[in-house]
Amino acid sequence: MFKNARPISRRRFLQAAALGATGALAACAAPVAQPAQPAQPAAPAEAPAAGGELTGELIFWGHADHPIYDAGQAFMKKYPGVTFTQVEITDERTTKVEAALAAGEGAPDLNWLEANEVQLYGRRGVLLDVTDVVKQYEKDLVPAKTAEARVNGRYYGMPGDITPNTLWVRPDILEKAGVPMFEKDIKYEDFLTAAKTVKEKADSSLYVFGADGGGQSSLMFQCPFYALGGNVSDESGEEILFDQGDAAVRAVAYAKMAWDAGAGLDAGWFSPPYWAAIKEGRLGGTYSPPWMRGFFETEVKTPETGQGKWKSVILPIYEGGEKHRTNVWGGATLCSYTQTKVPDLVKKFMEFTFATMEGAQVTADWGIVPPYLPWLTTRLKDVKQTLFSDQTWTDTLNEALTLMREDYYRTPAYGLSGIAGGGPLYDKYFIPMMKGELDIEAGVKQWADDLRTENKKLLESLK
Amino acid sequence: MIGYALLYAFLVILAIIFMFPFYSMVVGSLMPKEELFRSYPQLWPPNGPQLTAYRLLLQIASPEEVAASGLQNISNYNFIRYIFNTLLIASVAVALQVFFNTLAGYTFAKRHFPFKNQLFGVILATLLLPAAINFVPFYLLVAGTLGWKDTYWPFWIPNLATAFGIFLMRQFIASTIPDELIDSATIDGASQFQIVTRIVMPIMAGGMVVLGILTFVAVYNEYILTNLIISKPDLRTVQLFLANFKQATIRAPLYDLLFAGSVMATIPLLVLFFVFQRKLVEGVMSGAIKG
Amino acid sequence: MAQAIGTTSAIPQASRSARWRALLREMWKHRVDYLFISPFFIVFLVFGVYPMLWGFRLSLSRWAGGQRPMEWVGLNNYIGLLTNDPLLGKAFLNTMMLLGWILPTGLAFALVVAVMLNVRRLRGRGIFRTLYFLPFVTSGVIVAIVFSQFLDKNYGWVNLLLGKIGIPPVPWLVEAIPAQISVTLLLHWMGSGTNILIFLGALQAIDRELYEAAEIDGANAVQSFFRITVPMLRPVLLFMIITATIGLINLYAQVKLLTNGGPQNNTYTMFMRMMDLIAGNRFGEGAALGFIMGAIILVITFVQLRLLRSWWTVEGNLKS
Repeated sequence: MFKNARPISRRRFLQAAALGATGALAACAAPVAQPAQPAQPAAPAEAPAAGGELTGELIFWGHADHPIYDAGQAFMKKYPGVTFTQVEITDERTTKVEAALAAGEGAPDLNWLEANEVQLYGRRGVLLDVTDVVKQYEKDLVPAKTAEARVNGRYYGMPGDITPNTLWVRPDILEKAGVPMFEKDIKYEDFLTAAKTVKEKADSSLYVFGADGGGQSSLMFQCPFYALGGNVSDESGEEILFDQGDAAVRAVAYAKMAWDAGAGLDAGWFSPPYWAAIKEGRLGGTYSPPWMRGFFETEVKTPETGQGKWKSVILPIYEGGEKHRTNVWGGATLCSYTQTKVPDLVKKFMEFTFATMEGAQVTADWGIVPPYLPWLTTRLKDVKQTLFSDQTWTDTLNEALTLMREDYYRTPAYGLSGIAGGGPLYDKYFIPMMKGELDIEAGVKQWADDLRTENKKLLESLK
Repeated sequence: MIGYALLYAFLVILAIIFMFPFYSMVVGSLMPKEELFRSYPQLWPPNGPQLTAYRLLLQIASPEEVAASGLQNISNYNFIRYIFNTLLIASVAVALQVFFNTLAGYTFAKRHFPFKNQLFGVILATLLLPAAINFVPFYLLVAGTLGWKDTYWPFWIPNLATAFGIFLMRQFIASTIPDELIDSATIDGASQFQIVTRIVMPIMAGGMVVLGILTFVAVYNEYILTNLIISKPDLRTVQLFLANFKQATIRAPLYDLLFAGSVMATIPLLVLFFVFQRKLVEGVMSGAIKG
Repeated sequence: MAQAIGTTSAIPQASRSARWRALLREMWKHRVDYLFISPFFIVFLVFGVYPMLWGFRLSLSRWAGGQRPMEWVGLNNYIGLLTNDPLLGKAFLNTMMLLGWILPTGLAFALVVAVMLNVRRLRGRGIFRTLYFLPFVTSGVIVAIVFSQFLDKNYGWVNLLLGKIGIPPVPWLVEAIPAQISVTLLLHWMGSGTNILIFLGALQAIDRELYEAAEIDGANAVQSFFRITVPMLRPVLLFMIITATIGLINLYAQVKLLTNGGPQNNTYTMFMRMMDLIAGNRFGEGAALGFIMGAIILVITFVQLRLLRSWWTVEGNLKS
């Protein structure tokens, strides 16, 4: 564990933030006036208006067990004139949205969209432009996350869950195999060696690698791809960069090393055998986004099954990828649609949820990592989670935040590529390369070519 | 005798295979979520059966159980109401479909009239198209033009008579009812409607039960259309409600509630089946046909 | 297809106008028949035709969804799909392969079970029937969960039991052919309830005297099955073959739940491709693929109806 790991200093964080802001300013023609306040203690943004003045109804499509639902409850408490209505939705959410979009009414005022969805719907012009709100807080928000809500310089959503990935490990299982707990900066090759030992001696895996390569298994590819500076496409989403440079080829090769090591947990992600392995100690480690914690915690309820025994460390080092030893997987953005009848109320809610201390705290209590820097720099360290039992988790998260890339683009092409956990194109090429049936360089090239074909048609459909 | 023994052996083995996933569902519903999935599925709850998930769904759980459930807002839901809604939708749909499909099925099976085959061809042709994207115009029509959002009309009216049902009833009637029977009734001066209600429907009771059960189960388990049309919590169906528990994106799937809810949702279907399956006894209609 | 169905009613040969008058008279005479079949056509005209025409128009267009206008592109969507789609070929082959696996085995299995359940002196018939009905009413989500547990390569019951009799672990959901077999088993398990039910509905109406007469003629059970049961069931069998073919070419939900198209796209069906196109904002191509699938079904059912023309009614069968 990082015995000497310090929580990220506010100074360092704000440096990162300032860098991000500069980048954002360079990218946007209209810089915002609001000055950064580097020397001040992070000032929580004041709640904009006095309580009673806001009225209206906000409709949110999502679960009652949801960070945005919790924020809605807090919002109602603060503004009693506002009604926050949650409509329970199923996995057929997009069908319902499409129907409402075609009908011109009926879409929710608030929806929680994945990064590539924001980019797709933003390009389609159906999302509410919230540039004015986001610009106002641009410097207070994690730059890597704001980039995901931006299409052609405009913001189509309030940056939400920032989800920097880390490596989770159970020291007790390592110990059983006689492997010392990872010190800082473990090399990927050493990580795999340790994984093999643990598999052999403790019948436990330090990473997930199912035979289908989907879900969590794809992190074995995604993480080196991110660390090595890879990108599926450019920021516009028009040019496929997947096979440019060597990031993809090297990342596949790194994934193949994990595959060949044979030490991964061979279970489909979120399948019953996967849950069984977690509880039975056959999963001693995994690359993971922060939101996964909730999924583990609902299964892992006793120390015997691993409650409180998990620790988190920064991902292993891929040679040449030391600067960005994290990844983003999942992590949604709060959006609304142009057809909303209460755009101002929507913007107030967005501001409250991710640009005030109050809102950030509520969503963090639920279990996501809000992008609001004043909160992150002061309060993240106080977050405790039963799965990890101490603060190590948030220390690591703090460090991972500084390792994030601002030039990683989760465009619609990113969705098509399937690298976010599987999809027909991913399935077509990834496992054959793992099995050695397909040469890696040739495979990446074909994958990228298919992606070009598919992306071209997608872009045509948006014209 | 050996033949019968083999027959029973086969039927029993098959029954075990057919029962097993259902049995797993019941067993799964009787244990807490953290015990639910283990390597080698459990045949019996390791800590004895627990009814927590059922109590949660029926709103009779203790506050501690609610706190541990991972779903603090469980009291917002009304499971019994959702079952009732679903039964209402399915019953009306079955009554309409069985009646109108039998009427049309009989007409296509036994009557001769101009353009009969062309019209039947049209009916078959409508089965061909997989209309995955057509929910958009359907929604525009039903929710927009007709204003049937948050009502049950979209489950009843557009499927008043179905290609599948007409085709099924036509084939049943074609293979069962002799022409002579219809002819003699016609000679006796019975109207077409009387022939259908007094002769065809009694003989085809088994076939109508088959169509009724198929329709009932299909409507009962449907949730894509329901999800499109229904937003008001009070009008929710049980499948729409259960679909939320399997969500795998922002919330951990609540398998314990999903399992228990599915078991309870299945009970009305099983009762229904058990009651109506008597109509499927072989050969009983023999006498009726001769009658 | 209409021509394949029986014979058209006779219309007297006469002058054109006389023929029209006669036809109209004939139709007026059958007004009750038209009334009886009208509900389907009324609701179809209102709720079916418009969406279908809309879908057809969409298949010839580019559309970004929402309230954007459709832009006419002629047959480009069709041509693009048929000539330059990285996944459709595989999806087509998979769908046909699954059809080939599932259709014959499923119907034969259901028919045999239905006949067994229909044996006259069988005790506990009601219980067996209800048990066989269970899969049909069990939620698809749960079935998929349970199946993935059973079929797990390392910790599943199926491989455990196979191991007991010395068979090495089968990579059920991991390799191409075993995964297709898994999907086949899943569909049999879920679908046989319906099929058995329909066969039972048809069997219950067969006149028992036919069997008694055959028995007197010295026919055994197997002979009765082929000489009476199968011919009597032909109209229903035809129905099952056609609707099952249509259902299998549109195979989606069950596969989505169990394998999600994997491993390596070996259970990726045409319908999944269509859903992916729609989800990827390519609505025009999604609609076009729907019509391509309709054309495939049309060809296959046309061939089936041609080959099985004599199965249309039961009368001809018993005489032959």
